[in-house]
Amino acid sequence: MIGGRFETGGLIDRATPIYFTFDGRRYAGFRGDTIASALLANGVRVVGRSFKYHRPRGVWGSWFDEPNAIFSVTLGDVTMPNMLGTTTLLEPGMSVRAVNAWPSAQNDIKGGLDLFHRFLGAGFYYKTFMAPDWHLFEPMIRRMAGLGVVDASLPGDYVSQQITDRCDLLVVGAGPAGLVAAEAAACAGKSVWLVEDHADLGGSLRRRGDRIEGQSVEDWITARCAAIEAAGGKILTRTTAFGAYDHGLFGLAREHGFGKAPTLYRLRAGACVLAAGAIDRPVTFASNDLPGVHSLEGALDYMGRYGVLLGGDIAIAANHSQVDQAAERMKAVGCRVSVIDPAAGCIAARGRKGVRGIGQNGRHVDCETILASAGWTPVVHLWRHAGGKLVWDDALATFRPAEPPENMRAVGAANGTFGLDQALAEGRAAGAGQAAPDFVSVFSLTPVLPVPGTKGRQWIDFQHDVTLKDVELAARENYVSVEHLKRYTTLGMASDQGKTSNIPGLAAMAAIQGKAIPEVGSTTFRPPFVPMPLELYHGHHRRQSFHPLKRLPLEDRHRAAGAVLGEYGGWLRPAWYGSGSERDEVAREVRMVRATGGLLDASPLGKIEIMGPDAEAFVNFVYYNTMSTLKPGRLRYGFLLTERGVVYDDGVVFRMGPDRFVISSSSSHAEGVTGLLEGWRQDGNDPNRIFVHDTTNHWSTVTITGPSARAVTATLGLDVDLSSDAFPHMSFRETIWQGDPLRIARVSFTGEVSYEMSVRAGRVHELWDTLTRAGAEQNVRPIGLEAISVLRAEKGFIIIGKDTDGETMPHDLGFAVPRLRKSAAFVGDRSLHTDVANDPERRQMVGLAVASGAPMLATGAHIVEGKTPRSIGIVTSSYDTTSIGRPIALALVDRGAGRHGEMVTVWHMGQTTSATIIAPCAFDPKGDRIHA
Amino acid sequence: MRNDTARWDAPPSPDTSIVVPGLRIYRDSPSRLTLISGVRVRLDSDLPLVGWPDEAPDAAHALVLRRDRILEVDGPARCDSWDEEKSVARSDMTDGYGRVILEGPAAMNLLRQGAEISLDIPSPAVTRLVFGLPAMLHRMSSDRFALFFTRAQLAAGWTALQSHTS
Repeated sequence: MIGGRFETGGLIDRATPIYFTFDGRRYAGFRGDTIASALLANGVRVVGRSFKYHRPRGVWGSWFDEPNAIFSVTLGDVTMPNMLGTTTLLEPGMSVRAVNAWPSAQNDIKGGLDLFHRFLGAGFYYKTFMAPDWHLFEPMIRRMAGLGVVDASLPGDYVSQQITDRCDLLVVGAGPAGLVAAEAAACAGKSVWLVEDHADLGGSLRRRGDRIEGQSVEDWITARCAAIEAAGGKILTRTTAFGAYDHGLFGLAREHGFGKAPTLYRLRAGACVLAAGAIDRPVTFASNDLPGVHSLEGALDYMGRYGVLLGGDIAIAANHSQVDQAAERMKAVGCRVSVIDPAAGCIAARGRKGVRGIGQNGRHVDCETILASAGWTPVVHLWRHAGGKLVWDDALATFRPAEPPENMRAVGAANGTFGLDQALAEGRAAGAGQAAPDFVSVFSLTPVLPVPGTKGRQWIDFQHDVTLKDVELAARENYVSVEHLKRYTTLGMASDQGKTSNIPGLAAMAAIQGKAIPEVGSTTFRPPFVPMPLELYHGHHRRQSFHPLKRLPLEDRHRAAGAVLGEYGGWLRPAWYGSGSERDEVAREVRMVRATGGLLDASPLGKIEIMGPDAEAFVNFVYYNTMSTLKPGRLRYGFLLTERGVVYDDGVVFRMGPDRFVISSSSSHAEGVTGLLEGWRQDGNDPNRIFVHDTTNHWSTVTITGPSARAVTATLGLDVDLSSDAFPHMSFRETIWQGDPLRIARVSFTGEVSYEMSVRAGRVHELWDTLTRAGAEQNVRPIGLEAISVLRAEKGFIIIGKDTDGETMPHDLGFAVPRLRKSAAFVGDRSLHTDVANDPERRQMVGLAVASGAPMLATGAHIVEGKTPRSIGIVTSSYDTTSIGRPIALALVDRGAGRHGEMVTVWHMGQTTSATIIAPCAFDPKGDRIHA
Repeated sequence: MRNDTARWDAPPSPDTSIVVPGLRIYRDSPSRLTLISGVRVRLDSDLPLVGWPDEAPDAAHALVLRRDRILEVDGPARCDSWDEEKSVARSDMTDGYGRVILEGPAAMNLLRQGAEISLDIPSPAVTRLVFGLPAMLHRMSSDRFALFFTRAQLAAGWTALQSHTS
């Protein structure tokens, strides 16, 4: 008999049969089964194929330690790849397929690869596919690699809910130690979360316990749960604590069934009791990967939880102190059981697609199932995530927790405490915040470690086909560090992340080198503890919330006016208006501004207020230009530099009064400039005498620009003389419009007379509507950002970040004079005196002109020189503009300011053309229109 | 320039509300918001100060934003200026923020999806990251919360709330 189900027992619901298929064949299980338990109950031994050799593989463990039972599962329209059969609960109608096998796990067409195993050892790919070129082989190898395939039609509602919460104490694992720890803490008044990844509580009691503290297991568990919940504790089943992070943060994933995204809890816990238990270590012996070789604890778990027996003729390959008890339990249900001590000599399994026997020292035992255990390995992953130390325990032949991380304690099997009474004592002490009790370990074993040089293929990592010989080969080739061993052989890199393979691998390397295991060390434990769907980690920013753009108060007006919207510096803004092509509509808007005027929503322009008795000195300090001489009612263009002297932002400074300024930064930099100002406010200045308020969101700005701007603005009836003499360029006025403050400035980004009007955002609709009505009568209509980009480029006005790069300094842009006139210290001053800043070869801004009839230059094209072309500059802005009558371009060119009139070669995408270096300003260079 | 008009839903109308079991979300507008900064601004404020998890009164109150900054809600009209006498800087921000009200027994659960908050952990200030967006969050009563986003990010905040209630 291979596999079978008891008539009674276990946690399954025998009244609810569930039918499913595996590799096309129909099977039955029960509610409460996992896929693996149902397959084992049906006698299915080969559940998958190994990664490299396509060796047949059976189920090893019963929970997260399983390396082999990995499936693609389809239910309805949903297919999920790489589902672990031992943790996936069976649901009616599931279609289960083995990954890495075709047409079935039992008869895999690639199974023949195993015949070539002598040639496919560790490092085979690195050594074999180097010549002529790795990339020649890469596509084929990539197709062969990997396990399941992600279904592109994942349901749209597969979205993880994410919740933040906190508690005083998190208890991980609801085995006996975890239950009593949670109970003790909850009854002491702490807010407790108890999480368990199984659907039920009890942990090892489900496979080992009959009675505990005078009660049946079920009654004892029920009593603990009742006490925890009565004291306000919270119990979450099907919940995995997958990671421990800084500052007491734990990641918890709660399952909701197949095809449903788990819930992520970001739990901030004051302390953690780790009661995650322990797992069986495989014994390394010849053919230890055959289907029919299971973990001893796994076999007991299948009996206890699912009522499944893994075989009638059983050989137990283990020697620890719990073996006899396990053997008795199996004999009690009618099994023939042989116990073999693997420490007494090398053992070898017999069989091809399944176990047929086991041999040791010339003695052979026929059996159909081998239950192996080299001892128990505490589950210490969270302990290591949190920074806890481990110590090698010779008596247990494993690592166990040593120096603890802050606010974490390990109890029970997770602490290497394998006796039930001791585990309960540890758990209760941890829950109550008391010191751990002293006791003598009741668990003993004779260490069973891999023996290098022994015969047969002995698997260390089942999923990734890493054998003892691979470890020996790695050592011969000097990959002796555990991290190198891992990468050279892929040991521990499978989806189980070495839960069963790490210690055998380390022990093998230690034995090969003649070192003690602690000297070899261990690899790094990183979250997640078990594989998690990427969906679990999704941020808040997804779909429209992924990089959400800032929105204009006037967006409804722009949409109604037929605006084409696009992203400009993090804002959704009108690019142009109209249904024609971009080229035609932008050209129309440019012509309109030069002829009559245009109306621009300039609301994103920064409005950052600087107030306080030191405001004047502060603004003068942060700006490259002298601002201390600025009079109230006037405004001045200037640069903000970084400490390296590089231009960070340009903008206009309004002086509102003796101790109040408004910085109108560029639209995309309002938050950045605010941060920069806050930084300087607190560094070298008295922060109690300067305050920075970003009021950008309170104010909305409408700019009217063009020859008719004054006439259209006049229709507002403002109490302001708009004439050029009374209200000159680079000045502003504060007034009242329809009962609310209005700030009007004469400042221009187009080279035309412009009025920039700011009102509180709640009133901007009225202002916009009034101006569009008045403007329409004079053919002054809304314009978008594309037209503005052309208009400013015609004037040689820069856009920071587009016409500058991370090296551009003010003098590169032709602004050397302000520095010469300024005596006070300012941010970036020192860097402007360096050799780099004064290098005569620096890139400087210029204009470029092409020959009549030639096409416009490409933005990003290189200006090159020399026989072997070398880039001496780059085209930063380029437009084909009708108002100039030829294409225009701005560029940064080495020594550009001294090259006016020079013909240069421009290279782009393999094509070259000629251009002449000219001054950046191509329109109204004397500024007659701007001052009109 | 790429035409992104259709990629972004038009911002929701101010009258829009979200109603799901145990929760109602809607927008309202305080009559006045005034940003005030100064060394002693918290000590000198005439209005009750609100931090977390304080319940703001229906009448005028002041949200504490940081050590030296408050936001007066429905407070008296004040002039944008540096007040030499009180050593405070004042700016009208009435239209700078949008306020969203969340009320109902499910409100706290929704907020916990987007912010790490607990009634047991007090904070002098109401500034938070909520669904990844800078915001001000305070209680108005036991299950009524006010959430302020900047005007430019109000649509993003609303979308985030909407997507977590659907």
